[in-house]
Amino acid sequence: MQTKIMVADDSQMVRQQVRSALAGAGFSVIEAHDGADALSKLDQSGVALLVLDVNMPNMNGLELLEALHKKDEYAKLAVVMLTTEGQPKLMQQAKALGAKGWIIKPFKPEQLVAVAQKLTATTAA
Amino acid sequence: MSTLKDQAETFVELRECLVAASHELFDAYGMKTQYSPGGAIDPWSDAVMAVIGYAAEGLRGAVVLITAPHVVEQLRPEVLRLGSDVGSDLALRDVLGEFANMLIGRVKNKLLARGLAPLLATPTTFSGSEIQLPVPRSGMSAWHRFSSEAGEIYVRLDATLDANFILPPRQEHVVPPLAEGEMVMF
Ligand SMILES: [Mg+2]
Repeated sequence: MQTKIMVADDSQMVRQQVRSALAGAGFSVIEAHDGADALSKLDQSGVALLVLDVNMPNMNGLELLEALHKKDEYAKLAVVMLTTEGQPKLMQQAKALGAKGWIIKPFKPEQLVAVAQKLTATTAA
Repeated sequence: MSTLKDQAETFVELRECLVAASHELFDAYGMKTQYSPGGAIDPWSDAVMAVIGYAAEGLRGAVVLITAPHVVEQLRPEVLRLGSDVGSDLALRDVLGEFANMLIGRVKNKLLARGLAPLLATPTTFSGSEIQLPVPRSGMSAWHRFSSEAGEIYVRLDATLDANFILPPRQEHVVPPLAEGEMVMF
């Protein structure tokens, strides 16, 4: 069975880029267009890794991260942030809320694939 | 209290950040651009536009990008140019919106080195013909033209500065934030 990865980003261009990179490496990719959409789609989805933007309408990435952090059922969900933001304070906030990494856009496809393989291997173990 | 001259100088520094960030961004997407200040927008028959607001203590405004649809198509990453929605209005607005997001993100990363951390909004985009953009009633506003083989991209910076706002000097001892394309694992 393919490992499922969700990408939550308000830009369709970014979602397509992430899908193209990860699907090419054998992952199954689910898209969400903001934090609220991601939260509703994560339930029972079996997603192993969430690639998460910060600046999004409705619910931003850090708000979603906080919501997930409070729920036991997402304790094993790995999250990597993918954003234009590079502010150390935001990175510390994400780390404190359990994120595993922070990538600044634009990303290199091979870099994202390597991160996805590493984080989903840990999750499966 | 800063004088009008101080404010004008601060605006020049902000514009320099924006120009440097724009060059870096277009470059990263394979588009060589030549910068010239100002530039009146031709009344194109068709244009795509994206705007993002920002706000920091004592400083707020917006960054506006406007260009022709075929220029946005050129900015679009190659891997996405074969999709079924190529050239669709929604796809082009989305691409320019994300460019505005990446541009303002780069500007923010430059300002972080000055001890300034503006909050960024999400992009609002639209497309149409003969788009007219009123100049903000308060604050300062300037257009920047980036010419490429594909065509012109215009970037407007709007900024309203509080009377006591001062752009902090560059802090050499501050660890620079991660650069674009870099990553860190926690
Ligand atoms: Mg975003």
